[in-house]
Amino acid sequence: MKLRSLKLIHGSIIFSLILMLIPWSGWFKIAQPYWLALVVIYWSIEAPRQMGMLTAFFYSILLDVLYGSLFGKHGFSMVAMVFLISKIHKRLKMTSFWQLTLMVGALLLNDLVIRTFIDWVSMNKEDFSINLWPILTSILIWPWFKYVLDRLNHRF
Amino acid sequence: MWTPKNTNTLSQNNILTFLLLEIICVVLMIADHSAQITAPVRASISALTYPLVKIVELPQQVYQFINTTVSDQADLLTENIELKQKLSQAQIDLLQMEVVSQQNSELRKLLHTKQLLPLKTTAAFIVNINTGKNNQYIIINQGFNQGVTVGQSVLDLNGVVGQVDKVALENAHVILITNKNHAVPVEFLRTGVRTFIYGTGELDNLSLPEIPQSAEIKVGDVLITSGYGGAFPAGLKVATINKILDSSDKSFQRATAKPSANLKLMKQVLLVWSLENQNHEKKQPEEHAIP
Repeated sequence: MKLRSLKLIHGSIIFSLILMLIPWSGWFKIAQPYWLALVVIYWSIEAPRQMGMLTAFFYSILLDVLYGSLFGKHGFSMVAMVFLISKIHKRLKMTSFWQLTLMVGALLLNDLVIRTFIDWVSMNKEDFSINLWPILTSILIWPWFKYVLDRLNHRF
Repeated sequence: MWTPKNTNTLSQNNILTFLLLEIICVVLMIADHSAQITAPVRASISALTYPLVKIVELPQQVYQFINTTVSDQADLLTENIELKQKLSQAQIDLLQMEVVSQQNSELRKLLHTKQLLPLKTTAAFIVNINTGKNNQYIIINQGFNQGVTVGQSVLDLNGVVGQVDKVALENAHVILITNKNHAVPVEFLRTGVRTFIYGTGELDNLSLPEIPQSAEIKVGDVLITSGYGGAFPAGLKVATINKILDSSDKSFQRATAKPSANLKLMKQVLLVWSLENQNHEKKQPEEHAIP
């Protein structure tokens, strides 16, 4: 049973990486949800023992290589996010559905702020436009996303 | 009785891994500022990500396959005729060009200037595009294994697209000329005045904030690469001036330009091989042959 859920965890993370790679155009590209973060949040709440900071670090480094972004940028913010969740995951498991959705939004915002800060430091540019669309779409998609993963999780 | 103690050590462990991983990330980010250190690491990790890239490419390849197999005979025939017409036109142009280039090289000999070297290019497909305002790049399906190196110029049929920025095993990251962090040394085709062209973060807009005050510029002027700095070969079309701006700074004129390359609709790009790269490419098989 444990092995199966491990398969599901890694399978869903790899699937989310594929979703992140799809070359959308126009608005879809701008508003694309941060799939990897959603999967990582879900599993670090549901299966904190299997979905640790090391796993998050590993997959974020893969994302950095796939995106060609600054090495360790996604890793830095993702590890911080999993750490935050590990501190509060018992409370997160108990909270109501809507509160959890809001928390997901807050975690993603925190993640975005960290990444934008890294961009700012590494590029020395002042005019940074923060793209908030992915957070909005991620929050909108979260209920359905959680439903699907819950179903998969409890079937196995 | 021991449970609280246990959770305590667990959380301390957490903090330690957290700090350790964050420090690793910071070290990686600092190391990433020089391509030499992280390029091999990237290349080896990208071997792991290669299947993912292939999966994402798959629908595109299936589409192309279906498109070529299903497209009508009649369509192919008309396309064939069109292409033949284009080819004959191109051949006639080429004949004229030969005479012109002959004259050109004679003139250059008279002037003792350097010859423009013919470019060797190979085609590469675009795997992924990012056109966000802060970071504009494309990812192409050729990389370390094909001999792609950091700094190589990338063109499409209309003009300069960008420059290879990071190289993975089977693909490469190309920074576009419209990226805010990118500049190209250019010269005006008409007057020969040299300046730099900077990206603005918008796909159809480049800026030229440093045109000398003495230079005479007008809308429609074509900009070509000057070859200075050695990043781009000389004489490639980059952009066309579309607006001359009022400048508060008295020492420079400012203008904006539209990139010649079709950055919005490209599917395929051309990688330019400089002489060094070509030699490298030729050397490789020999090295393999010796042992």
